[in-house]
Amino acid sequence: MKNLLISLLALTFCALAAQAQAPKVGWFIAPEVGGMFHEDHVGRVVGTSFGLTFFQNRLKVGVLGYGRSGPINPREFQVEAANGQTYRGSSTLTLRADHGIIGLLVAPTFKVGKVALDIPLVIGNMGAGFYFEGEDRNTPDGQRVSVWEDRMMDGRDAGFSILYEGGLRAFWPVKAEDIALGAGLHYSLTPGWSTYYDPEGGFYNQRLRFSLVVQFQSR
Amino acid sequence: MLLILSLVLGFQLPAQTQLSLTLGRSQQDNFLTHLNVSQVVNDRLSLGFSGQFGSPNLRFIEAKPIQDEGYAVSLALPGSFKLTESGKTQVFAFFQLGYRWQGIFDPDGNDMWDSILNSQALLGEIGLMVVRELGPRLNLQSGISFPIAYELQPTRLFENMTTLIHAGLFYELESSALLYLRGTMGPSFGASGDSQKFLWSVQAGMAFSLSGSVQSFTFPTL
Repeated sequence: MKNLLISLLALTFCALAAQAQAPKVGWFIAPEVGGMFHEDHVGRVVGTSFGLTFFQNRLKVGVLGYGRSGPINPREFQVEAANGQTYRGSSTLTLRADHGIIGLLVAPTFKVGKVALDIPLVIGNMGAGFYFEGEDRNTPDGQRVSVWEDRMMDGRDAGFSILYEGGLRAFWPVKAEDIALGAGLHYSLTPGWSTYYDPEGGFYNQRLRFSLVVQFQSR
Repeated sequence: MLLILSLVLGFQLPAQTQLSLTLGRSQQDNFLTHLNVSQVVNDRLSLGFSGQFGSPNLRFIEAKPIQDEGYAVSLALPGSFKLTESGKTQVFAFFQLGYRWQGIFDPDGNDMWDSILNSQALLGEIGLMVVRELGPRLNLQSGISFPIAYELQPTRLFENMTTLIHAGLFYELESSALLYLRGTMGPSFGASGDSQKFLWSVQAGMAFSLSGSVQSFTFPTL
């Protein structure tokens, strides 16, 4: 709900500012896809950012949200159930990973020839966990699957933390200056995040990711 | 029935009324159809009414899955507001407030429709959409939105919040009609992780104006 409120406030702010027609204030909307470099695989990521530009597009301020969702990442992970328990006859749990972030984006922007470079800095919230997949989502007693995930992973199937992220993106204009294709590299920190599967929290902490962006923007 | 009713209502409405019919497939529905009637109030504002029917692929009641069975019907009041227009680009803010009924007819699996499991939910969506002219007849529509679903019955729970990205191509057949093909996708969360984790859809449709030129913005499905 907090994330929804942040998004609502940002959308309202964006709408009001666009209406104000101040010559030095513009807007940007930038859907993106990308990948996150985990220890032994690359996770698929979908996200978006939107907000306002100031000082003739030299500074972006907005919201960034993205997720490394389980259904688009078939990689499975295995761990022994907590306290010697079994689930559907097995003591080994087979899991998928699911993740999402939302945060405040501030990105100083400068141009090198026709290419616009920005430095996206993000502070926000991150939530991620590990979950049962496929037939394992049909629980033995008909209870919700999260009840069993909690039980089998000692109440630590998911965790939350603050997110810090910094990066560098380059944008090339397409046809006109109001559409640009971008590519970026980002480094994420999620201090304090941990789960039963990953008590050290290294699955998402200190990770590199890349983004491929289509950015619509005011001229 | 809804289609016929809406068409009749639509033709009785005054000028600047736009109809759109969308067919598609999504993570939630094996097949969906969506009908929207919207009224252009002024240069910037459009308000409308829409109905959607889906044949579920994967949906949730009380955060438990229903799969490849049942129905999902929703009605919504959508609105859009053109924030800015510059050259070949228009930016719209849009919202939808809706209500959804969904259910299955044979929850106990005894092959008889002697019981029913259903749910009702409040739906909402806010978003920003960019419409960019690519050619004399071709537009690109892309943007972002945040749809939410809150189940009211049989249990009150926050079913889902999604961050969706949109992309679509709109081809103008004539000044009063256009064809479109579009897709959405994005991460989703709700019900302690028991409901959807990722939503996607592919949709094709047609929009036409009852008089005058068709507006380039059309509402996404719920």
